Amino acid sequence: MNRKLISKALGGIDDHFIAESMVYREANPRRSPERNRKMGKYENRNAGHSHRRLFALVLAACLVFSLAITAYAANLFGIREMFRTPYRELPEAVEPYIQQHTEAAESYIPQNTEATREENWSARVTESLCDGTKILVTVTISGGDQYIVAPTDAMPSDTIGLIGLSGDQTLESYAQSQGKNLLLVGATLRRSEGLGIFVESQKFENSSPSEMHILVEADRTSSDPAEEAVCQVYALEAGSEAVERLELPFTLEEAPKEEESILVPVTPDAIPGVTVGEATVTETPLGISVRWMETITDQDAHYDIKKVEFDELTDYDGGGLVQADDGNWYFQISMGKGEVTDTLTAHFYDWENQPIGDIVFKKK
Amino acid sequence: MKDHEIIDLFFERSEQAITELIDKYGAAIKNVASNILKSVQDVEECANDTYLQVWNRIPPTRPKYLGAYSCRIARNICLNRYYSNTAEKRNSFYDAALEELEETIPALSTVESEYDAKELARYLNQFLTKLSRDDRFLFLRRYWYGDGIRQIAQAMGITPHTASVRLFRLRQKLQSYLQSEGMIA
Repeated sequence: MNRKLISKALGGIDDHFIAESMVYREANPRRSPERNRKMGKYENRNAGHSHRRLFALVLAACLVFSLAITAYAANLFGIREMFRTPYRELPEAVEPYIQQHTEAAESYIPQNTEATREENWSARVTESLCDGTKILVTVTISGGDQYIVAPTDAMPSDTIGLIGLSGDQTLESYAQSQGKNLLLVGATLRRSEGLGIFVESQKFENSSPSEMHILVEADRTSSDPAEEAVCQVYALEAGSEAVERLELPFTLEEAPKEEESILVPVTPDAIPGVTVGEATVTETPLGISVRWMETITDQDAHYDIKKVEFDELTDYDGGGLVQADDGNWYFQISMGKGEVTDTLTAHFYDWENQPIGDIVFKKK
Repeated sequence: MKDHEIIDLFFERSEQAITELIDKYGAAIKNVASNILKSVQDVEECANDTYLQVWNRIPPTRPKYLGAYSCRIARNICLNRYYSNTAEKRNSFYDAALEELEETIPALSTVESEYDAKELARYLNQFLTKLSRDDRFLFLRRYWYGDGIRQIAQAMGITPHTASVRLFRLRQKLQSYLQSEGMIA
């Protein structure tokens, strides 16, 4: 069936079902396999006898201690580890370019209060990695003695599985049982012109109930070198309406371009609806990125283009078609694997996955 | 704040209604938008358009589920932009989800119409009533909200592979159901 009609049919699904599945509810604890592995030590099972309880407490203390040491030694919450999934991994070559940030944590100090640093949450940028198309930043947020820290999209009624603990308790009741408040946190990169960020995502991991690590992953269009950046951490205390923000300036150092070549389309208008410009193929330690400008000549025909695939590249991060700061449209992919020598062959497909045509780029 | 209290604020034409709507459902609205659209700017604009439309529609409408109501408006706004903006047509999460369903639901006729979409919506609602809550959750998060497999798997505490297999079975079930109802051959 036509995809647009399927989409319309989905739009006719009853509000009741939409509302029912609106939030990741208690029956579905948000506990990833990664969380299980990293946070399994925080299990909170009730032992039947007091000596077992004592043993469990001692064991738990040892495990927490050993987890802290292991986490420190293995850097479980660095960029490489936070980026890794069963489907993707950073190349080994990026290792020298992962910047370690050693600035002291900044504490959030509310205005018009007498609160001290120790009474509030704090955050610091820990690592960053950047090239012309990607920025990755990890930030650690500590709730100190006052807060249990959860992702910004959590609800107080979500289970503690969300922060890696076992059990059916809600975040709200768990925080109360610990004599703490629940703090919902997130992080974003401030969109300064030079960074040219057009899309951004966050990944959350708790190393303990009071400490959260966030990987901010941003795609950028700018060809200007990134230097100064600001990570904005925002937090909302459950039950409060006031969003608290903390700005963490840090310096970015771009991984160097290992190779950059310009390839010229043999037939720039081989695809109906578009004229394709020169392709810039850049190789950095993160992988190969490809970028070309597109001039739309027939809007309807251009709509028919669904995707582009390459003979020479695999596993790339699909940026797709984006509008850059200069107002022009660019096709862009990043972190590709493979080898581009003198030729780059792009296959264009329509919405039925049928080939529309190819554009072959040749080295200038 | 409870939904009916926020709706009361809309009826009072209090701008606080928008603030409360954003606080309670802003994240969900942006999630729907960002699964369909890739540009951060487009997502922001669609979210703002959604708040404005909710403001314009309430009153007179008094939705039963404010969250679902707002997300539905957001989805419609985003889809309009999605279909009119070539940039969004490539490699979006939503496109990947639709592609899966497209394989499940073959063409109904040579000339498909709005009527077919309405009929399919009717059967989809019936189909959903027959599923367990977990399966319904899985189906809707993938195909209505457009969430990625990894995101859903993480949310449900299962592996991405398990989530994919369950979705595959759900699509098979949907296909059998539509066949049994005579909707598809």
